[in-house]
Amino acid sequence: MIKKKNNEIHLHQIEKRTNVILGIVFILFSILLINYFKIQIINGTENADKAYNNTVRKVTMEPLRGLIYDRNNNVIADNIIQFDLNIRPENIENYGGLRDIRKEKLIKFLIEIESILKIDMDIENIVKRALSKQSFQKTKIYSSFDSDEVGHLINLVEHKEGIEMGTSIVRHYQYEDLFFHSLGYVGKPNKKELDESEFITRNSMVGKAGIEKYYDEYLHGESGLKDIIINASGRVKSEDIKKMPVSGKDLQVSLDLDLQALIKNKFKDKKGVAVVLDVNTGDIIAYYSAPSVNANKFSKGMSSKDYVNILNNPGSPLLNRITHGLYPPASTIKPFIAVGAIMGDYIDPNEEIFSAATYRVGDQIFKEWQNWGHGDIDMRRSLSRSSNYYYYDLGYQMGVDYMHDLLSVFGFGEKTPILEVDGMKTGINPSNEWKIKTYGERFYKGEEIMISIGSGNISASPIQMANAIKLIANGGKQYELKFNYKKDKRLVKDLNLNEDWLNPVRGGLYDTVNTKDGTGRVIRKKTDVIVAGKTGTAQVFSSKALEEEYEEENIAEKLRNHSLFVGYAPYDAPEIAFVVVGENQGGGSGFAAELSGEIVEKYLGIQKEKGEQH
Amino acid sequence: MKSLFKVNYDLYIYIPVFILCLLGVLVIYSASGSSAIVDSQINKIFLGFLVMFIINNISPDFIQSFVSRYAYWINVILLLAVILVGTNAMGATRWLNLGFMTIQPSELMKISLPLLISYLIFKNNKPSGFKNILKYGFLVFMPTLLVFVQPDLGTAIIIALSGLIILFNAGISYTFIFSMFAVMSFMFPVLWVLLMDYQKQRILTMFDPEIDKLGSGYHIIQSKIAIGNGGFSGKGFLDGTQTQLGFIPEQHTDFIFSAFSEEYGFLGVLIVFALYLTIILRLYFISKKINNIYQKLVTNSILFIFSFYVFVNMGMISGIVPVVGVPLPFFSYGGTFMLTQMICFGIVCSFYSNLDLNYKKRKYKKALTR
Repeated sequence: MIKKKNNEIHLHQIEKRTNVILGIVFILFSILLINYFKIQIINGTENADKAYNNTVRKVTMEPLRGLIYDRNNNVIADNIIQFDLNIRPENIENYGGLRDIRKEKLIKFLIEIESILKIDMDIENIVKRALSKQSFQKTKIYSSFDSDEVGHLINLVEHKEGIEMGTSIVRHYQYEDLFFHSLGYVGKPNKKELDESEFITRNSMVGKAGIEKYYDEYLHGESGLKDIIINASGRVKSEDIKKMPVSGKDLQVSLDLDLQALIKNKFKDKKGVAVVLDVNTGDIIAYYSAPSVNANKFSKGMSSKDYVNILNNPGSPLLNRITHGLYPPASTIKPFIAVGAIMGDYIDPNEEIFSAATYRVGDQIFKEWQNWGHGDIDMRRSLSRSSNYYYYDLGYQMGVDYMHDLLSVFGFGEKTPILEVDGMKTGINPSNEWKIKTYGERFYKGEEIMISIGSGNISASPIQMANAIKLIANGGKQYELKFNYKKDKRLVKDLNLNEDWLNPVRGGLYDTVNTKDGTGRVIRKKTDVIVAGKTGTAQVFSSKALEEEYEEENIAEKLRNHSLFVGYAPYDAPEIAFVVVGENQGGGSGFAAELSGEIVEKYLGIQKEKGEQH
Repeated sequence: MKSLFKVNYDLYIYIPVFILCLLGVLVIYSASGSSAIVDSQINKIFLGFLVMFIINNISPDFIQSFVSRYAYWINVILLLAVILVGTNAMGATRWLNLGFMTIQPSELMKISLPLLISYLIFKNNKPSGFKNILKYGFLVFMPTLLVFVQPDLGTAIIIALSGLIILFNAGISYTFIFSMFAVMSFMFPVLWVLLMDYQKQRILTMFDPEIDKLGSGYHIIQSKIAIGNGGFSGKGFLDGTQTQLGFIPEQHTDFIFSAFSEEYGFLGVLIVFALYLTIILRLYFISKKINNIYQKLVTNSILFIFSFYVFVNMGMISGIVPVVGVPLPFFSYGGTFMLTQMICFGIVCSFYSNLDLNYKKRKYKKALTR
């Protein structure tokens, strides 16, 4: 005992250390208390906000999109219920694990489903979409408007967990490709569209092109708003509606369903354009570019395979030929040259000049399309027979710069004013300035005279052609073109074209259709309505073709001439103006004139009958 | 011998422990929404109280001279068994299946170790001298290492502390402590290499939870939001959005107090603090009264470890201590942990209930030494 005395512990020593321990405990508890005070009292509000943001998600509720009617109150765009097959990965047997493992399982599952259902699925895309969501969220793998079809499919996979049927409301275009280039289509918003509008969410459908895009806000309506309460794994626990959605407003467009259908049937698999305008209002009555695309493919969402097919289609169906297709106007330019000739006093419309078989500039020889020439002709006949000689001569006298200014007045080389359409190609309305800028030299005389028959360095879009002929029909009133049937017409400018300048030309256009050797005489067979117009035959083959024998049958289809017709009707009180372009359809007196006649008969002939019946 | 026929209990311990258990059950219900878990916890509380009461009525002499000497070694064997034939769950091997029940030997080591160290110090006096300290060091770090490799860093630290605090309490010289600190700080880089990646991550994210917002930092951030969302008076029972919508991880075990703080606010936190302090002060009071070195050391170790648990748990969920997976005494759901705490308190209560005897013995001993 005594030996170990140094090592002996005394209780008071222990107690001293115990007090140190208790002191440490008090310090630690004080730190805790201060920390809790800081979190709960000082930062309490801030943390409460964070907690709120954790659980409350503001979600917009999509309103029903407004319907679109044609001018005769036919619904041409509406919303329908689509039946979907969805997968919900969390229900798939043995689903789970790391991303790569889940991906593998998903692919295996989808391949199995595909083999059972025998439907086309873009597995890669589906897997990508499914993995970007939470595993309890559904991903669409197939959809159809036919409930029986989807019901049948779901029966086939009834024994499989993880696949289920659902519905969604989608934009539906019952006439599929009939209005693709005018109505456009709707689709999921891209990042830019999401950023720009506070009401658009990932679930919204926004107008992507055409009328759907221009009137998007009007058709879309007001989105509703609700708070949804979600838990930590993103599942919705409850929701609180703050504002009900207001459905979009309906829109009536000036397009005519029957006329569109007629045009489409005429084109079948041919390429080209038909546009019909109301000369007194600027309303667009028909607007069809062939080939077209089924707009539902875009609004429903299509597989990338389908999309590639569309892109690779040699007919370029996505191309809106009305505003973006440029063609040589060919002889359809002649009425405007003729108006300019009278305006500028280059010719007396009644004077007859001898239209020979060839026109000579220096040592260059330009052939008339009719080997033996047209003989003595005045302006009316120059139009009805479409003499080249007459216009070579006018072109020679006027020079390219005068023609440029003249054609500008009629809107060539410029954007055609359309309310709903902004982007379009302006084509080439050539001048010396243009030639110098492009080729570094002025026009040669031989080139200039080509312009006057609408060939060479001149190109125009069908909408420009239709708009220009409309100006001849209504005396130069440039109404803004529009699709919105209910909107008041707007006069952009009045060219105040003198009737004395126009009437000889109108007479020529009348003769084109209504004399027995007029180039557009085929129209008489199609309708009793008096039509005035001008044929055009645009050379696709090289300009050398002019000097060689052109035989339609012997030439590959893509090298055949384009068939053009511009005109208006009825002759004495014009209501509509139109253009038809048939790519590679040969001369303008054929396909284009025929379709023009059918258009007039369909639109005005029936109207007339109706009028008589009443 | 009178004490053998007396029923011993200590209301200053029993009542606050009971209230804490009740609050715990309330939060477990709110956080888990499962009555099965609540039922199971109530059973565990009942069993815990039973064990505490029984130990309360066991003679301290039996604990001192029998349990202290053998429990540690049996426990070491169990820890070795865990390494050899333990049950693996959630990436760690901590459990031992005995056939009729599953136990977690590392939990029991938190009491076995202090009992042995206290006993040895009682027997051999002050821990001084190189050989002596080496012996204690070995006894402390062997089970620590066995738990550390499970891996269970949190429990390993607690076990080490439960032994070291006794050496400190028994009067190990400050010079030695500071030189150990110096050595430790040199050792730190070595230790850092030994840590598992997830443990390093936890320590790093404590300093800045934002570096790993969606990973391990997510838990701390969400837990702090939950605590703060409680504000002064709390969101109310079943009304904490962070709790009810599952933003708090492990919310009926380690993070249970986040859920409590959200639903009962700073006011509730103060009440719980008061209850814990009541228990701590009671333990301190008992320790003061005890005159037996062994009992004093055991009581103080239990006091410190209990306080340390509360501090680490509450600190970890509020972002000032790394997330080491330490439960909150009497609050968190879990059986072995509840039982260990009850055993500890039962032992202290047993000491206190038999104070008179000790006092007499001390007097007798004192008389002898004179």
